[in-house]
Amino acid sequence: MTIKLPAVAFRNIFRNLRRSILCAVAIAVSAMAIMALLSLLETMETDMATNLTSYYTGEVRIRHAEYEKYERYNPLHLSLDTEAVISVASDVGGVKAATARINFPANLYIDGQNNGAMGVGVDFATEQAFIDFSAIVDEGRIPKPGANELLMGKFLAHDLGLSLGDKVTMLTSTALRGSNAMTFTIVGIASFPVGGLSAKTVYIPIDRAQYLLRMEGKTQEVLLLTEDGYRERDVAQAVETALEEYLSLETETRAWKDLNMMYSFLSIAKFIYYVMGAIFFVLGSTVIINTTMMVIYERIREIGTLGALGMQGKELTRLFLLEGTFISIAGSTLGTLVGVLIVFILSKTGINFTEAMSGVDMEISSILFPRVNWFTALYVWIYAIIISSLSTLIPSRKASKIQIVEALRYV
Amino acid sequence: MSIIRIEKVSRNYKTGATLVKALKKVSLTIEAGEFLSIAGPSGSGKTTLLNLIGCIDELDEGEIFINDTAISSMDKIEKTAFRRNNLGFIFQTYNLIPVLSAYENVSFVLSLLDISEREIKRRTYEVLMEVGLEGMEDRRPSKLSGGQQQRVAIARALVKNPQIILADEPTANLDSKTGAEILKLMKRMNEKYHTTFLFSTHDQMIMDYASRLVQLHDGAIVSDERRR
Repeated sequence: MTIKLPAVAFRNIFRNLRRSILCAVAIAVSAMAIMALLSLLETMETDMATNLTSYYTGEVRIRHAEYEKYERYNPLHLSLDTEAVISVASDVGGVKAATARINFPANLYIDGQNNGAMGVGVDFATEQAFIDFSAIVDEGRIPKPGANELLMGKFLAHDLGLSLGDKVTMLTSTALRGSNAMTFTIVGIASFPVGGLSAKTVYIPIDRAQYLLRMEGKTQEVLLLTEDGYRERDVAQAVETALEEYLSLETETRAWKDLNMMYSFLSIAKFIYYVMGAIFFVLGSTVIINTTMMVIYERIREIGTLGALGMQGKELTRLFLLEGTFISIAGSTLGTLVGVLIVFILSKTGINFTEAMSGVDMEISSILFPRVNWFTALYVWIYAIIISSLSTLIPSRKASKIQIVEALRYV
Repeated sequence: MSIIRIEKVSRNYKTGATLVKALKKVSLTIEAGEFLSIAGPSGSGKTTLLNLIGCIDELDEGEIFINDTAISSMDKIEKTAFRRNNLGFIFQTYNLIPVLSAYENVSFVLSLLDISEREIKRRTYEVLMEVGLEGMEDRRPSKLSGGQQQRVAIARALVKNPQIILADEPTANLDSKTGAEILKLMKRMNEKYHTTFLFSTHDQMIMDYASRLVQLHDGAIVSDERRR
């Protein structure tokens, strides 16, 4: 069988195997780093989205129209009628679930000392659609409606030396700007994925929170989850319109992506990383560019011979481009596979950011479990091959411009 | 019938600030099927003349006609196509592709032409047999002796049935016995296929094989002698 150009290019790779391996490894390292870091970034993005929609804002958050303006004063009097708002919002197309929450700053009075905490009044029944309590409650159970019971973050319980069955008095300012206090029994201890939540949060039944805060029948916010196939922004708009129409209520109803700057930053960071990835590959490709240039000078006489035998310039370019492409394929395949393997191992072991994230107010879980995304793997693989191969085009074109007579004279 | 007509061809090179006149108004007519030796000492212009005929170097003055086509009228792509279809090259250092076997080195030239796979195979095996390399088709150049490598190079030049084969000092890297064998082989191929052979040499023994001997000195023809 007559040998074709790709076969010649393939065999040429083995002429200096060590150098070809070095080239492939440079590309592999780039591909591996990008694969692992993109997976981590994607995991952070997904994790942040999950945490935000579960523990912070839902997919759509409804608040009193004036609330944000006075938020720093904890304006609990700017509240919503729980039943009416949930009733209207639930009837809007695309709304899958709704729940009411009241977030309030509190002090936990223990042994004559006040300890700052964040109280959250929730309807544990409707909250199940947002938070999988069974997955986060380490000890005990969730509080019962109507009972003075609370679920405490694990780190907070640890820091305060509290355990199941202990009683704790919660002091806070009411919606009427008075002070109030109630004593709760710890019935559950939970490990929230976000370290900050575990370190400062206590969950109590919403009816008890309403009583404590003098907000009977009222809520600070209503959170919604949307059906698949609906855009959160569209649903938010429809809910806001419905509340205005049916309750003559002006609200600030917004989709979660519009509420979280950090998430937007993460999306921007991801885009920037894609651009940096390209630069990374170009840097990795300098090895292959350099090697191709060396190979061309080493084989200059051979190039002259091939030219004399009637090989066109574009065929010479193709020959060296193919060599670069084969090395790129080998390197990017190896790098992507190693990257996938690293991500797979990390998906089992997790990456513990507890120390690194302490003191950082970010809605990212303390332990991240990156997942292997085959689309990302395919993207990195193709990306690496294209950029590395195109890099060899620059020196490969040089081969076609070499003067045959000069090349044949070259010793 | 003349196949190559060289008319007052000059070629100059610059070596630093020095202008080297490699060929000075050389004129020569070569008939089809000739077995012509271009002889002369180093620096006499033998290789330059072969390079110009082979369309791999540029003329400064004069014209070369091959089959009445002026080579200076051809652009780079046309010259490449011309070489591919009409010329065969044999080099002093064989210049085989090291990653290809003897068979592949020869057939690779045909793969650049529009020839069927079957025909490539037939012609390659035939020419390898002609040059005495039967059974060595799968050997790579590193596994062949100098003489065998030059036989592969001859086969590579012959396989596309070119009108002209240009050989630049084809025996310079071989011992005298092997060199003589190579010359005999080239002569036999010349007689069998009527291919025009032009080869440069400065070896008297090799010159004796030529049917025509053109002597160059300092870029000019000093003698042109036809032999039996």
